[in-house]
Amino acid sequence: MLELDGISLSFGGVEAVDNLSFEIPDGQITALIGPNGAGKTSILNIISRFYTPQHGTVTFDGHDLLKLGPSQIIDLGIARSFQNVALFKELSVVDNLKVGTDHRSKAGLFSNMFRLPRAGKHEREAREEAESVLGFLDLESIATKRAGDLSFGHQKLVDLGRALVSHPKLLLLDEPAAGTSEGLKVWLAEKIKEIPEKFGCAVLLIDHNMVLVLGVSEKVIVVDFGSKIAQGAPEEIRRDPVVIGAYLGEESATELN
Amino acid sequence: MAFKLSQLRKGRRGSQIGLVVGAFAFALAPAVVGANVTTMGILTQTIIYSLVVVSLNLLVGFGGLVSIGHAGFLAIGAYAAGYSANHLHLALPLELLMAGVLAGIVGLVMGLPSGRLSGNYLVIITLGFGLAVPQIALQATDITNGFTGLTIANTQIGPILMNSPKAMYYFCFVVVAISLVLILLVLASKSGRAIMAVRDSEAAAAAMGIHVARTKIILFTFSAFFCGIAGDLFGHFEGLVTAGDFTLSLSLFFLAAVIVGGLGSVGGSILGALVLVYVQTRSASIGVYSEFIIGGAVVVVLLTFPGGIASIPTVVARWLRSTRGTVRVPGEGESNPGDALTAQAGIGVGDHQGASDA
Repeated sequence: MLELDGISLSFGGVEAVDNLSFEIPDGQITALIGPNGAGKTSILNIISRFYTPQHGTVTFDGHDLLKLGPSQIIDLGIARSFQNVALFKELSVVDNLKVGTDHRSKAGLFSNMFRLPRAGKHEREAREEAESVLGFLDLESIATKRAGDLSFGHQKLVDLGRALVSHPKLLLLDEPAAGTSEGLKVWLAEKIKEIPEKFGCAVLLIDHNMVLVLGVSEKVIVVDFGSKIAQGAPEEIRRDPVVIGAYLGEESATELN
Repeated sequence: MAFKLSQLRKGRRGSQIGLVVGAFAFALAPAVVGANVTTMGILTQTIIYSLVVVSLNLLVGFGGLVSIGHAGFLAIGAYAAGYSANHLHLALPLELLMAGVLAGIVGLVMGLPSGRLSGNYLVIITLGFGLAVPQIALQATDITNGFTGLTIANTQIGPILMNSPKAMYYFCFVVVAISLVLILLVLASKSGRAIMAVRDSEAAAAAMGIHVARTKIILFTFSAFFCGIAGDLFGHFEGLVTAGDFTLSLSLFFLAAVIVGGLGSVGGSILGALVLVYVQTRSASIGVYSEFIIGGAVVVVLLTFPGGIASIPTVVARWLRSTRGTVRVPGEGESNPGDALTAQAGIGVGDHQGASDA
């Protein structure tokens, strides 16, 4: 479904991503892990088209992603969340989610100004879909609140909801549990597990929380210094000596086993 | 579903009621305060300025962009009214449309760099525009009649000649009311959300499929369009427009009215326009101090009610609740799993890896 081939990205001589290739299968949760500065978010930013690599190709369902801009890929079915939540803080929670549905509406400024039938139809659909995703994430009670007033954890959930409501085929989650409580991490892991089946999409998950990553993903890709150092099922990754050396460290490895 | 449409609207209901009450107040005002020339003049000007201030607020408050040359769009609309009334003799709706479209085209051209340039450059571009328009108006004597000023013939709807202050007032009232309804419909739609999304986070807006540069250009055009329509009304209302009517200081007054009324509030902008017209009409007796008063009002508002006059009810309500002790925020669910993390959010923010991964 998504294929990265020979991707290299450097910032002024610093290699953020170095000749990286991997594939994300349809309908599964794939995790991308690696130590701080390994290039995980850079990879996500390449897929979501904020960064353009100097070398390599990115293909999604047969489309050459590198030809598209950041605002065009959602129409192909790629949606993302943000590591340090980038909500529309002055908008209500439900309006934040509605923005996630808006790319599907063909109604332009003129149709919206005169509330032509297509504009009204989209508003009804947007509200229904926002309601259903808010229900999935247990956020109905804060639907009308201003997003900027929410706690960090709630903001992370709204960020996730906004991406989910766009009907993605591939959902990119950049540390969805970072900075949240242990209780929420466990709850969120269960919710993320439900996503592929419930929303019919693949998930690419970046997170530091090993419990979350190894617990929910079917495939794990480990990067360090911008290169792939391991790839496999969570159980294999857990025991891979290269991964333990580069990322987990002896202590964490004992903890996990 | 646990929440209903009525709940969604609850947040907006207060401001909606305010706008409806305001509309009735303006509709009935001539009957209440008497339809003499002076009060009708003040009311008409308030209504026209309301549309100008709302159009500027679209840009500044809702879009996060800056214009310090909005009087320029007003001028384009006013001269369009004059040219139509004196030469083209267009039907009124067409004339209004022409005024809006002309201003909109200029707004579009000015908006083109807004997609690429940051706010500071936009300030300079709009400043240049605001300064240039009166100069161009002095030179383009064929259209503007230069220094002498352009006399605009009384406008006419069908057989009704708009020659009484009351008729002029209601004409402006209807045009501005329709304009504001259209603006509110846009703000409540996908287009309005896109405008505000770009203001709050360009990266997230782009990821959600919003073309950031295009949205800014459309917003500039949209804002200029309605300011042009206000300019058309302004031309008919004044009857005589000169280049000196559209000074930079007027543009700054509009910006001040946006801030005093409340950034991102349509109702607030109407109140801001009211304050502006009040100070302007008093300027005969207070002279140069009107600028001082407007500037002072901006400072006072920013220090006390940064959200402008429009935010006063919310601020007061919050203050009342806090003095009563217990605050129960409606809609705060206890069973919500997200609530469990609220306490830890502060720790979490510093915990996650920040930009180091980029």
